[in-house]
Formats: sequence, C-alpha cells, structure tokens
Amino acid sequence: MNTKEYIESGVLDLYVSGLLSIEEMRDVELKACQHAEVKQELVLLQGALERFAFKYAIVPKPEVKERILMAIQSKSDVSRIVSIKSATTENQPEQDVSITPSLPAARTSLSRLLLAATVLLIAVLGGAAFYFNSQLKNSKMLTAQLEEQQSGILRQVDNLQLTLNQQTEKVQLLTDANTVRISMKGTDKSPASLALIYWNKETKAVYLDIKALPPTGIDSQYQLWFIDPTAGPVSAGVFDVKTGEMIRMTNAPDAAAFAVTLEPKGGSSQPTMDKMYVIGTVAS
Amino acid sequence: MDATNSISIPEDVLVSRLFKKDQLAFSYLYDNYAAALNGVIYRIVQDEATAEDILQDAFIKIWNNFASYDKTKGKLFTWIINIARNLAIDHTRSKGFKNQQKNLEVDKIVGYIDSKKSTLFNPDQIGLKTMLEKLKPEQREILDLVYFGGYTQAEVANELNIPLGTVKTRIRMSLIQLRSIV
Repeated sequence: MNTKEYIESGVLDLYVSGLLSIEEMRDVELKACQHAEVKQELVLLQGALERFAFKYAIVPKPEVKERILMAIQSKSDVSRIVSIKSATTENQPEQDVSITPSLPAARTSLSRLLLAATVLLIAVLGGAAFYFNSQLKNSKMLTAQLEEQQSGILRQVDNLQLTLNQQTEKVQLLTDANTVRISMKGTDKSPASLALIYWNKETKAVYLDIKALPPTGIDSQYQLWFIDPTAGPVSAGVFDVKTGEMIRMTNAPDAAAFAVTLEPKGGSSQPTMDKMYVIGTVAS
Repeated sequence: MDATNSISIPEDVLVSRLFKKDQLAFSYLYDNYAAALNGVIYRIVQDEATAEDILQDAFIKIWNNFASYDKTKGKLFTWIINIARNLAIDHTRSKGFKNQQKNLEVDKIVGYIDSKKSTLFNPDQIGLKTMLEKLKPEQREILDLVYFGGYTQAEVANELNIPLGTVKTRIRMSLIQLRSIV
C-alpha cells in the first residue's frame, strides 16, 4: 500500500478519533515516523479536531482551577520536603569534616570511629532516600502505563462483547424461518460475480455475504439497493469488498429484488444502471 | 481563547516547562485548554458537575503523567484531549452511568445534547452555528457519536443501523469537510 492509499484508507481518521486499538495506534505512529506525508496529514486532522473542540468550549467554574492547583501543590510540597531532607543529609559530611581539624580534642580514636560511623550512616541514608525516590518515580510511571493499558483492554472487551452479540444475531437470522436467501448473480458486465442476501421478512434485517466481486478503485465503492415494489430502488448502504464475512446493511421493509452497483465513494442517491454487477429477485 | 491571554507561549516551550513541573506553565495550560476539554467532557457525560470533576481528574493526571507525553507522536492538545476523553468515556462505561442512561437511545442523545447544549455555549463562539450548518446532518451525527459520544465504530454501525464500511467512509468525509470549514 503506498502512502496515498494509506492516507485514503481512513485509518488516520480513526486514529485521531481515538477509535483504534493500542497495536493499531502504534502502527500508525510508526508509519507517521517513516513518511512525512502521513505525519503531515495527521497534523492537519488533529488541527481540525482541535479547532472543532474549541468551538464547543465551555468555561468551567473558577473553583475547578483552584482545586486542581491545590491538589498538585500539596503533592509537590511533599516532594520538596523529601528533596530538602536529602539535601541536608548530603551536606552533613562536608561540614563535619571541615569542623574536625579545628577541634584538637576530637582527635581521639573513639571520636574518629564515631565520625566514620556517622559519615557511613549518613551516606547509607542518603543512598536509600535516593533509591526509594527513584523507585517511587518508576512505580508511578508504571501505574500510569497500566492504567492506560487497562482502559484500552476494557474497550477491547466491550468490542468483543458487541461482536459476540452480532454473531449471535447472525446465527438467529440464519436459522429463522422468516429468513429468505436471495442469490444475486453476476450481470453480463461481470458474469463471475456472486453475492448472497439474507433478508428476514419479519424483522426486515438485511445481511450481505459477498462471494465474488471485482476489487474497486480508490474513488469508488459498491452500493447495495433493494427494489421496493412501489418506491423503486432504495439504497441499503455502501460497503467495501470483504469475502467470508456477513455485512449488516440497512433494513429493507419490502423488496422485490436486490442489486449491487458501483458508485462514486460514499454512494449515490440513485443507482447507476450500467454499472450493475449483481442482481437477484425475491421469490414470492 | 487567545483573546483572554495576552501572552502566548509556543507549544515546545510550554512542553519543556511542563516536563520540568513548572506550575506557572501548568496554570497557563489550564487557562488555554480547560474550556475546550470541559466542552468535550460535557458532551460525553452530559452533566455539568460530573464534567468538572472529570476535568479536575484529567488535569491532575496530565500533571502527574506528563513524563509519558511523547511529542513525536502528536500535538500536546491531542494528548491531553485523549486523556480527558478516555476518562469521560470510562465514566460513561461504568455501571452507575449506564443505568442512569439506560432509557436514552442514540438518536435521542444526539438531539438531547444539542437542545441542552445551546444555552451553555460561550457567547463568543458564534462561529459554531454556521460551521455546523456546513456539515451534512449525517456527518455531524457521526462526529457527535464518535468524537463526543465515545462510541466505537462497531457501536455506531449498530446504533445507526448502517454498515461498518459506511461508518468509516462517513468519518473520513466528515473530517475532510471539517478540515475545510473550521
């Protein structure tokens, strides 16, 4: 996939909308590092959403800022006390050493031993303070990372649950007595094409199962239509070609036939008849 | 936003000062971004007091976790807005919130936010109305659901009863449109 195709695939739009999983996000970030155009596109999209968000700005109550500043203040006070403490302990040995020569009485072996022990103790305490402080920093960072991972996982679980519900729904649809299967066969334009429709006449749900359709260009997309006996062709949505997967389309209240045409990206309001790829009628 | 602040700090300066835990820089960050963050959070949780609580959590998280901001990955605003959105979305996914919102369906929520929101807009954000009029209804709806509703693609497809491919195309079309008008 070249850079232009990558940008037009829409993955960057999903990225800036926060809709990708952690792995997919990493992939986008990697691509942005490798290709200047991708990076450029990301910056433009982020800028647009930023300005969009600013349009919706609501000024919070002044107390909120006070509360936040107070909360971060009390935290940094704690860290300041810790740093003052470690600073004094680190200065201690130097002072002691410089004082010692002016006190001749202290030149006994006992006081030297005491001094050495004190220096050692202070050094150990200082080292311990430094060690625990960096441990604390590490674990804070780890906690932040874990929190981010957890909310990512929760979102994935939600997605899986939704997928499961959709699968259950599909099984129900396929085994339902009200469901009819319509085989849409290739037109003269594309005789090898084939796609199936599962339409539940009771719930009106429409599922599309693509067996074979030629790949589309970047600027075009397939669109499904159902032919309403009175209103004529009605759009049931656009789709990308994915075989082996059933795609839920727009409900069809009443249909005499289903057909797929090739339309400009995003779909048309009326089908382009000379670009019809498959069609199938509903057996009455 | 710029009108309220006579001094403007370039983003890279702001970022390096925040890395050093500069409280003045943090205060500047708040003054410039709090209203935008609050607006986004409000649209997700739809309650003023809850939004402000989440805003507070978001800013404390930004302060504490600033070390994990990687400027090569994107703009500062994108990073902080994602923190705020994720906190707001996590809140809406909590049990209590789900029960409270049980009876609101998506299309109602979109209308509901709009009707409730109009009175709360900043008076100086006049550009919004004209901007939103330039977006097609379905483009606006998709941005509302995805960006402000915290819905996943699959959920949007399910709720609006449109195929997943259409969701993707619509997001892309909306953002292209948005880029040209804001």
